[in-house]
Amino acid sequence: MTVSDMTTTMMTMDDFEMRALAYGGDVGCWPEEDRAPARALADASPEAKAMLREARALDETLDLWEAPQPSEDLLARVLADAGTVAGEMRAAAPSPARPAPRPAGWAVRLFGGIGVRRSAFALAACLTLGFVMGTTMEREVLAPAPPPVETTAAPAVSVIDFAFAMEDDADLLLGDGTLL
Amino acid sequence: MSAGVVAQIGAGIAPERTGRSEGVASMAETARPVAPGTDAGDDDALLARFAAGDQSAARLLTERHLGRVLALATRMLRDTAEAEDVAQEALMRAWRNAAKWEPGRAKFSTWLHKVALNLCYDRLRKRRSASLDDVAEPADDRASAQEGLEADERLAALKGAIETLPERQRAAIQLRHFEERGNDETAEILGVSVEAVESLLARGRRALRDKLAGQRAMLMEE
Repeated sequence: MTVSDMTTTMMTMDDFEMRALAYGGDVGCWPEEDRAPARALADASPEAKAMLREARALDETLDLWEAPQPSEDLLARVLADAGTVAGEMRAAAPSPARPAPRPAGWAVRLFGGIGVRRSAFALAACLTLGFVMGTTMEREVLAPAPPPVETTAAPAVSVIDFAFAMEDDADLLLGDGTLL
Repeated sequence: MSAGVVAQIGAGIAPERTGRSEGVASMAETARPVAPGTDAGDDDALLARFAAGDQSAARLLTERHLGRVLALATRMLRDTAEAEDVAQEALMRAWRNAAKWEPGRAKFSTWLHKVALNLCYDRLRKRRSASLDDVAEPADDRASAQEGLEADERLAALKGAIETLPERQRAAIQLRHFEERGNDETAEILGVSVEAVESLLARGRRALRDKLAGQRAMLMEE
């Protein structure tokens, strides 16, 4: 006797009736481990066959009860609920890492619609340009000019001239030192 | 179970409907029949997409599960308006929990059916505690059954008989027979052991069989 045969012979008529009541007249719908012994018993026993027929009759009566299809209204309601919940989830979700806008300051009021960043850039550019121009002008215009090369000899010439002039002046002096 | 019933349960949305709103139309156009064993991984991915803000994921999840959740609630409550409210509420809880969903920890379909079933239990308990005058009377199955045992009458008799079953027996039959869920998943949804599922099924179906046989015998006598 094989294991399969032993399993087949293990199903009693009470077990068969219990399964037929629970799972119906189609042995294919019974738990898998019960199918082979149940088929063997049904083949061998008219009583088991009658139980299956009776169970099938109840199955057919149950199958008469078809459930309704979802109505259009119900479908719309369910989808509307999903939309509502999705909206609530979006509202409750933390906002992405983006700095909150700061209140308008003087720069915004001053530059209006151009934007603070552009205004700041323009201001920085103006300051840089002003600094460059200012330093250049300071060097070229306001700084003391270096002494010209020829002026360095000027004092010597002046001293000589001055000496001659002194001699000339001495010639013009009178004996009492008064200048004519 | 007949192929028609399987297709009806799985399809979820009838594409031939007309006069629908824009949202519904786009949903119906993309509807696909879904087998009972919908890939749980896909559901997890869709929930993650919805939690990340992708609303098309909600549409796909609705296409997959609304029809079956509505079927469960309809058979449990036998009241279309209440069943629709339960299905809507169950999916609303899915949307609200999408961000907290842990992939692989549970099967979304199982979780959703468990939520829906508990909502059904709540409503059934409220019905019981309410005044009998306030509860809508179920159809007089006996009266209609007296006209014969044609399909409509058999169906009416079945609905009447199922309504008399205890809640968990009713739920077990719904999950195992109509939705073709395995014993493990049925046990998880119901919060009982696999052995208890088999017992619930056997007792429930035996009660149904006996009630329907009793009605048939009475009709034969008349």
